[in-house]
Amino acid sequence: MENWCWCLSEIFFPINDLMRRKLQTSLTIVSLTLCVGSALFLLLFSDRTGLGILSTAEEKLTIGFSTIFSRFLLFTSILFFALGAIFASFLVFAMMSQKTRDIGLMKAAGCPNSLIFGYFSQNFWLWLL
Amino acid sequence: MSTKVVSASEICKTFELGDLKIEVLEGVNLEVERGKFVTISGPSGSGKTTLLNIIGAIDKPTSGRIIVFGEDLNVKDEDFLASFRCHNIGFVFQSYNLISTLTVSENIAFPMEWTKKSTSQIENRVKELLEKFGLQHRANHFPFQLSGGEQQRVAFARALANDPPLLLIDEPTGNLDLKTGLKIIEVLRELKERGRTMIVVTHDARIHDLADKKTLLENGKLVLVFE
Repeated sequence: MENWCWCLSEIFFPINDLMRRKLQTSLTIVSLTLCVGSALFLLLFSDRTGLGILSTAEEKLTIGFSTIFSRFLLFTSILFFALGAIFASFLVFAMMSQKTRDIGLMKAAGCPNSLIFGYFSQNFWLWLL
Repeated sequence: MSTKVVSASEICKTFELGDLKIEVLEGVNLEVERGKFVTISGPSGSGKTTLLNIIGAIDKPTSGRIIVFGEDLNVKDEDFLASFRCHNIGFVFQSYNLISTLTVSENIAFPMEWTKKSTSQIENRVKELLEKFGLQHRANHFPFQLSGGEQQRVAFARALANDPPLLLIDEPTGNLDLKTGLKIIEVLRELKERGRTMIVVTHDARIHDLADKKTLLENGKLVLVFE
């Protein structure tokens, strides 16, 4: 029998929980990264891509192509942002349902409220990190 | 010391769904003595699981008094009830309700972790329960890798982890085939022989045959069928 007792402790249970939901955890990280990355891109470069000033000023692209390229970038960023946001919210909703079930189970089996709060607040902080 | 384990008097439970009020239990009375095996049957939606939840301190009645091991559960706070459930009550749910990210061993060990037992005590108890339920080869498997019968046996092992004096069991053979159901009935028979107090919600005639007291929940009332 493997040494499993460590993973039931208050500190390691949340880490263990995230590690064992590999697909869900990685999908959430990818969608949140997409969402944040595209939002940052839009915030920082939307004025340049929108007007296509930079590339045409440097004479690397024609005005027409620069406009198309700029609009493509803008559209892709918005699309990534929207997809990331929808996907992340869906995954968070799914995770919340699972956590609600787990909390109910733990309470029914007699886990003290303080410990349940400890488990899931640590889980939350891990996600924030 | 009183031999009465459960004493429920005039238990009423009403669920409110918007304007709609559903009265599930209407003055249920039940007394269970130490070491007795009590079965509750009744039509679907008659409130069997609700009654079990109230006895197990998971839910509170709308009115009435529920005393388990001499404690009036209505007036106790959440922390007391959590500790009370952990030490005194083992619950086997109809749909097993195992934690999906924990292995079989961990699911069994989890309730013991909350009682601050030492690692060696927990390991020994888990080993003992795995052997008792024939689950040694499944110790490191996750619930989704198990069959229904195996999940049910893990649920039993988890309920017995802290050696609670009262077991509440909801439809133990409801989702199982005939052969697997027989194994569970053997477990119940053994627990009964060891003098464990059990309240079982079931429709299974084979389980009713083991009972010291058979009851029927109908129209919100509990009727004694046989004692």
